[in-house]
Amino acid sequence: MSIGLPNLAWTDRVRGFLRKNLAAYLFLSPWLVGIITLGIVPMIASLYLSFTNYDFFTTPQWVGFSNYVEMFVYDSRYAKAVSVTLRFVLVSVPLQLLFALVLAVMLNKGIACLSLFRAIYYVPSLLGGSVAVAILWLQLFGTNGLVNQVLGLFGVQGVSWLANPNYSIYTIILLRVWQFGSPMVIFLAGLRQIPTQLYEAAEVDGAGKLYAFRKITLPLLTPVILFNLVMQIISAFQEFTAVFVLGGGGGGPLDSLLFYTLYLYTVGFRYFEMGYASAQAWVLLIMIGALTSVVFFWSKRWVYYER
Amino acid sequence: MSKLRLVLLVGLLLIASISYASAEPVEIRFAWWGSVARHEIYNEIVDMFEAEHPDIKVAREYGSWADYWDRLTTQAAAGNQPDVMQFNSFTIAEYSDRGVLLDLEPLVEQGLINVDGWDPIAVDVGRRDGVLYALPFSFTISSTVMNISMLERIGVEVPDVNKVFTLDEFADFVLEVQAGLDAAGIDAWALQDPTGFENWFETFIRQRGKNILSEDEKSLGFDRQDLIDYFSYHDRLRKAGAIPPAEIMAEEGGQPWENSMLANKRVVISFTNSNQLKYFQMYMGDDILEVYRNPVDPEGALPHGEPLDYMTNGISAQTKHPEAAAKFVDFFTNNVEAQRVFQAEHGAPTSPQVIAALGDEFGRAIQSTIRHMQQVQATVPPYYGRPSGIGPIMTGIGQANDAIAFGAKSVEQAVNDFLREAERTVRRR
Repeated sequence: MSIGLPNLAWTDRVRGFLRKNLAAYLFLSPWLVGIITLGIVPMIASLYLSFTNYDFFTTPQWVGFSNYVEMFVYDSRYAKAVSVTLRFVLVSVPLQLLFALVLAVMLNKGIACLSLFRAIYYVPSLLGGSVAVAILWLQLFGTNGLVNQVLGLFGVQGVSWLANPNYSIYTIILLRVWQFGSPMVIFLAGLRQIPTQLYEAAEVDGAGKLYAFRKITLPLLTPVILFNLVMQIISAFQEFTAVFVLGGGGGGPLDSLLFYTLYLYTVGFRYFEMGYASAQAWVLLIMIGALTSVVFFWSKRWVYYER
Repeated sequence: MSKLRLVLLVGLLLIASISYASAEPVEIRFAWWGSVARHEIYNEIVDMFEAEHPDIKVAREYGSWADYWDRLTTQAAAGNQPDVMQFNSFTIAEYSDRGVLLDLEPLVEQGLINVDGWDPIAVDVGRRDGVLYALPFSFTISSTVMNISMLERIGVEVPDVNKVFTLDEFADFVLEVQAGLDAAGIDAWALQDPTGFENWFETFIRQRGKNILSEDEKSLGFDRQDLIDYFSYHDRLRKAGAIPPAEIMAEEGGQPWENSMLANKRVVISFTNSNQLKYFQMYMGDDILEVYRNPVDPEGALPHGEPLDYMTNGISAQTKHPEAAAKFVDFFTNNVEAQRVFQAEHGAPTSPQVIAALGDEFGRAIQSTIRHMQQVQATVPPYYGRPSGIGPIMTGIGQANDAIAFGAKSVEQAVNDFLREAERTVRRR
């Protein structure tokens, strides 16, 4: 051996490695077992299944790329699901972040009972994914729901927001935006990080509040905005509970609530096409990955890291 | 000599171990779906069974319709399905085609499951490709339910219970009811949109001598014209204002019994499975519901077409205790006391002994259901359940109807799109 490492037998090397790291791996083992058996192995299995015809009970049959071809070429409901989901993500995420940011800035002004308000505004994020809230939404946005009753006070004749294929998705978007708590809390933490002397200096130089916000707060907050943006895009793609309940499990009027995950679930668990559902799951992963990469790439132009 | 002794010893040991094993209580698992009220009924029946068979314990696995299938599918994929599980005729093929279920014929021959005196059709529908995969315990059929009190209130003559409408007569009747509602100033519709009701669609095409799939299950069993006729028939009534518009259906059509369009007096007539009658009746106030046959086409290939939807118990192909499972299935189906508790939960009982014993003590709604079932059973060809892998076709009917009702597509367009998707589904089966 030309390189000056001691030429140990591999058993010695293993022994050395174990002596150094065994305790660490032992302590890690509950999580390692979890991630391998519940994460990595099922993922590999689903990647394999995505190239098969698998109905849950009989042996999977290799079909090559035909599930993927089916998805992109023939399945019109799949195309509908993609367009509904993209529309949802592209509208709801910016709205939600804007809302969260505005509230975070307001709460950061040092109002009394900050922690109380913070907790109250965070509550929807805890409840939002639940079936109970989805049912509440049904009550709010029905023909005789609360929303239309309020509109009625102003003489506006409301429609059934949920049963109308043109509006139903906006009720879900609203539900999503309403769950602004977790990005808001992160924004608040980000706002606290901004050194106050910057604002003091700006004030001395005669900058207005809005100007200071634009030139100090926003630039210094961009890393947090990026973080929130990425996290919310990922979770918005995975929206399921609300549309499952509000669409009666079927995709709502004219499939206007046929979200990606809902269709995937229907294909897998209702139509017993697990191979096809696995292929859809992998395409979803790739879609989320692609959109996230775009955001990261784009972020080089607007995210400002303090050095 | 010593060899003989050895054989004897082994034999004794075997006998001892067998008798020991049979003294040990056997546990079987039983799964069903339903609401809280149904869980109480089922639990009571299982308790009765355990009291009668102290050597058998029944572990219960129950949940809502959606939970039931999610769990069963996952369990069956792992070969860990319950010993006894329930299916209706629309779901069983998905499992029997895939080796999940045991052939019950030997258990019937051993006398563990009693089908003496049954209408042969009642047993036969549990078969697929000649194998008895499940024992039907209740029948229910697509039917026409009418609020006859409301008919009286608006001055429309209540049809005789034996009346069978032709499609044209029925359309005229629906329009007459609508005219009556309008004249009385009642904000309601004559007929809840039945177009997306899969069983009615099947009734419609079966009467034309067709099925969802062709005989060899390799292509669609109906054609373009059948679909156009079907959707146009309902679209005409909708346009005439006798069927609620799409938005109303989307919002109110899928509600549970207590909030259904029938219970809220939003419609007078609704197509539903006949076993549902007793539940709808519970929430009708003083109004009375009656059940009629679905309308027929006088020129159809068959006089009637209702698919005889049945509820069955199936036994797992993996069960370790086929005898205990069979005893339970038999008890559930044939025991008069159990069926008294059951109160025709899933429709008319299949067991003739049960009907003979309980027929007169059932309430009015259940008696109507049984009467309707007997009318139907005598006149329809046997129905062997839906083939597997056609879920998207069945949901597609409702979607096509939605597209027409919302005005997003013409009947022609909707039919073309539906056919393209349906053919894709058949190709992928």
